Amino acid sequence: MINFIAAALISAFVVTEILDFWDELIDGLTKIVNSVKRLMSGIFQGAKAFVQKVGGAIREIVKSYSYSEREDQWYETERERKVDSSEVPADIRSRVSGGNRVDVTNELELRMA
Amino acid sequence: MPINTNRQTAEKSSEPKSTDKIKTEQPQVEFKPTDPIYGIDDIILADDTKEEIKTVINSRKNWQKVFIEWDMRSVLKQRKNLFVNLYGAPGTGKTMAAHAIAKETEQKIVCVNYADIESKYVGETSKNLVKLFEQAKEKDFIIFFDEADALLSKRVTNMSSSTDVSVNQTRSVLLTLLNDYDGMIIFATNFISNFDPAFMRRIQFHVKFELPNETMRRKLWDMYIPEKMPVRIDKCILARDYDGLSGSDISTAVLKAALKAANNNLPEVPQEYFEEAVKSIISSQKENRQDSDVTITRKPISKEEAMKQLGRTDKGECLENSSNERSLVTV
Repeated sequence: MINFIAAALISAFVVTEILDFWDELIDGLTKIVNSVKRLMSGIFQGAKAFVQKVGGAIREIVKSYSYSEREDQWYETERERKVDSSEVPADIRSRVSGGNRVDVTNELELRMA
Repeated sequence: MPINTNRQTAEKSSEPKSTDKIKTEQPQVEFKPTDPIYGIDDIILADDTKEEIKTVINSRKNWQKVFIEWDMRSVLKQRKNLFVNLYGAPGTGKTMAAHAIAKETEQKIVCVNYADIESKYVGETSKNLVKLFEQAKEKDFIIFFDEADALLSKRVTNMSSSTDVSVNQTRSVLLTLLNDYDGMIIFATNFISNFDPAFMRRIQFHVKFELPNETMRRKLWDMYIPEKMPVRIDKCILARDYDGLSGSDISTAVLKAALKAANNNLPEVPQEYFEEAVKSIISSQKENRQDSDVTITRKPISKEEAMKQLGRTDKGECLENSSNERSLVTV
């Protein structure tokens, strides 16, 4: 009984951690979209999300693309956030270990669906 | 018949006379040394940090012996000064330590913030620095630069505006002043990584201030709760359960809890109010840390580049077999 409760608590903790990582990503992307609308009167076109290990730290990178009709200009906005490795889901953490930039756009889109 | 004579007279009298001087002097900046407030025993520090501060104090006291009696000045012609850098997290006692150093070495101290010397007029910031050093030399007080990263940060390499030129000029003037100065200067910063290497190598002592551990937090709770304040509190629990707090955070928490109790007309400050205040401080720190870990850059790009990154044609249609992953469309 105690083992079952402990397992459930541990699972809940792990699930909460993973949700926090995606929540932060979605929150960051939402802020970019809102700032594009507010500051540039721009139209958000799309975004891609990556996770990469840089110098021992893990970074979450969101590149978004928008178009400002007022300026007739396209923009790339890059939002980079340093994250604790414990925040990053295990499967993604294992993929970044080689120092590659891992594209997590599809996973993010699924979370937002 | 002239019209509007009154107006003409008024206009005439308002015109500057040729003999009038147009005043262009800027308000003079004055630096007033004060007696230091804190002694070494007033600060709760980690043992090794306290030992380093004591080393600095003793070094100052023995400066005369080493440089004059033992003639170190003949060898170190350009290093006859004593510069100390106190660095670490905010609220960990750096300013108090600067005062303690001044008190133990029996000198007055002038606390200088960048805002005190910065001027919007070109060249005035450098003049203010010169004036500060002259006064310090004349009156033999310790100069304490708080938030020193504003003054000692890395020089601009790609100068693209007059502001950049002015920043570099100020740094250069300060380097020269430091070389010629033979007194004591204390710097304090939360951002040592921002220091220009030229300043780093001129500083003899770098003392790191860490956040307090449980034992130190227990002492800080004792220190910041006045004896006269009626409390219902277990300080051991607060010290044990809430880490990551600085001395400044603890003093703020005590104040918030006390004010809340007084506002609610309670006869004593209960444990819950202290815990609530601490949680609020920790929560705002977490949000602040998240914001400071984020960098956002925006740059204009060509439509072609944007379409390529989004995996679309010029007409906005999705490319088949695009080498780019699918992009999100709308949030």
